[in-house]
Amino acid sequence: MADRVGIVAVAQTKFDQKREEHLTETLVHVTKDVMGQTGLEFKDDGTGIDSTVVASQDYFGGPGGIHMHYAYTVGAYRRPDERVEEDGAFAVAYGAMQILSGHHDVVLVVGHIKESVCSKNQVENLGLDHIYGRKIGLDFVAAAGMQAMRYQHKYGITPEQCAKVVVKNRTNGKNNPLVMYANGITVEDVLKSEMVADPIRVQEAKPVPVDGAVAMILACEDKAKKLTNKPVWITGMGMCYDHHELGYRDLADCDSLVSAAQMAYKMAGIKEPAKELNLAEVSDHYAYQELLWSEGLGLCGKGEGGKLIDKGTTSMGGELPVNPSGGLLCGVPLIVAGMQRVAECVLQLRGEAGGRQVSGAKTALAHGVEGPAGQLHCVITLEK
Amino acid sequence: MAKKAAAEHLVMPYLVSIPCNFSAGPYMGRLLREMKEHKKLWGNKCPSCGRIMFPPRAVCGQCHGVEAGDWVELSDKGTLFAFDVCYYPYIDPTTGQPKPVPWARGVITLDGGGALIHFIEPPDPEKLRRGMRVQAVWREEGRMGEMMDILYFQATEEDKK
Repeated sequence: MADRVGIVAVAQTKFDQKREEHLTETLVHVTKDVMGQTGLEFKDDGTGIDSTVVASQDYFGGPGGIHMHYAYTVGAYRRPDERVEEDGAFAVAYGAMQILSGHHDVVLVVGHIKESVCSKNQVENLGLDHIYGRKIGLDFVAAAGMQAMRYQHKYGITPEQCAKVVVKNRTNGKNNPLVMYANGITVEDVLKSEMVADPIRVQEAKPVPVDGAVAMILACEDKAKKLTNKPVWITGMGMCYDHHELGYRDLADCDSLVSAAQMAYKMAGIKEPAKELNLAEVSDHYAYQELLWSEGLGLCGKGEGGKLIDKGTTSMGGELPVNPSGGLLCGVPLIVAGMQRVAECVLQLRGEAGGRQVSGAKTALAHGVEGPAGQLHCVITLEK
Repeated sequence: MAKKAAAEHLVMPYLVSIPCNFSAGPYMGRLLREMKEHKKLWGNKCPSCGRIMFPPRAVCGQCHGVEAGDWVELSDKGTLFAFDVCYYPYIDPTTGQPKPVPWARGVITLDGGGALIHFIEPPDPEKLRRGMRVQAVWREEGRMGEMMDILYFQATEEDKK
């Protein structure tokens, strides 16, 4: 078994609307970017990239089937290639497992989505059970609305506290040249914006549609050390599913995230995440989720997500900055979302995060989520 | 032993339908535009391995490292490399209506490079053979910029002789 898995290179596209590009062109550019950073090519003799893992969602490529049609753009030609129809953080974890198992030494992981192809709400509606969920028009936005309502009610989380998350992340994003929706929005602006799914307002939801892709190369420890002088090590990984049906869960709690986080922390030897982590990139598809997921990750106590943002702990310059990149609220496609969290952690730990750099960052956490109201979570801890 | 009444099973028909806006991009886009406007097939050539690619692509799947940009006009004549005649009912995805059986499709290697898959007419196993010379029959009116702007391939005049 390999000792450790290192991330040796990351590449991201700009996150905007790519209506002029065929999906393959986006993929070729991001793949060649990350390969160019390492000089690696696709090889079947153990001297290059051994396999690929790709995360996407079929409908967002057009008429479906893209996982098979466009595999060649990421080098899936007479070599192992795996496909993940889940958040991209899971693809990173599966790639790392290929290396930890000793099956491969060097793995290319790619995540891509073109939200501009079709309605995100319609695709998410298809993500629901077709007997109990779809016909009432449920999608992930409506599910999130119910979760936000329940969370605010159970723990006394206020609309202002949720709006502060938007202000923090949109401000952080001003230092991220890849995102389109960073701005100087105020709490008042957020609370005056159009209601989407009560209590979620339009400014508290991830902007849609956004297109983009992320690629990264993972390598076993000895190869990682040779490929870069700034490897970032994956120290812990955890994944967990919850019930699909919303009625089976107390939506104000996120038990599956707690399990995923504990699995990752155990692997990484992290006992007090709030003290030991230097930053966290959390999937804030909706503003309240950054608070709720922070609780699940153990960055604060249960029901204390509101206090966390009030105290400024998670702001730049706070004890534990959350989403220095600007998060998903600055516009990142779903599926790509969790993988882009990992990519941002890598840039931070390499000291390459520019104006959003968390000084002296040595440890980081990336979180990906998928499914209605956070059905499944993936937690990855990293260190330099 | 008395026979038990069979349990009644509930079966629900279900249709999934999502409108999509598919971006053709510069490579596929040029091919489809040339088909619509000029009844011509275009591919591109990998500058590394020299392979003619049809459909044209942003990158050669084999060499990967190169972006393939060299455009090549392809012939709409070629050789039937492989084919099959099918007898099972076929719902035409463009109309939702059944197509008459039998029907035939084949892999056609185009003269000068590139290969594509299309209908072969007539779907008669007695008349079709591997290696026969075939030519595209184009839609004369109302081409949309899609592969069905070619109606089918059929034997060339020289091959019929």
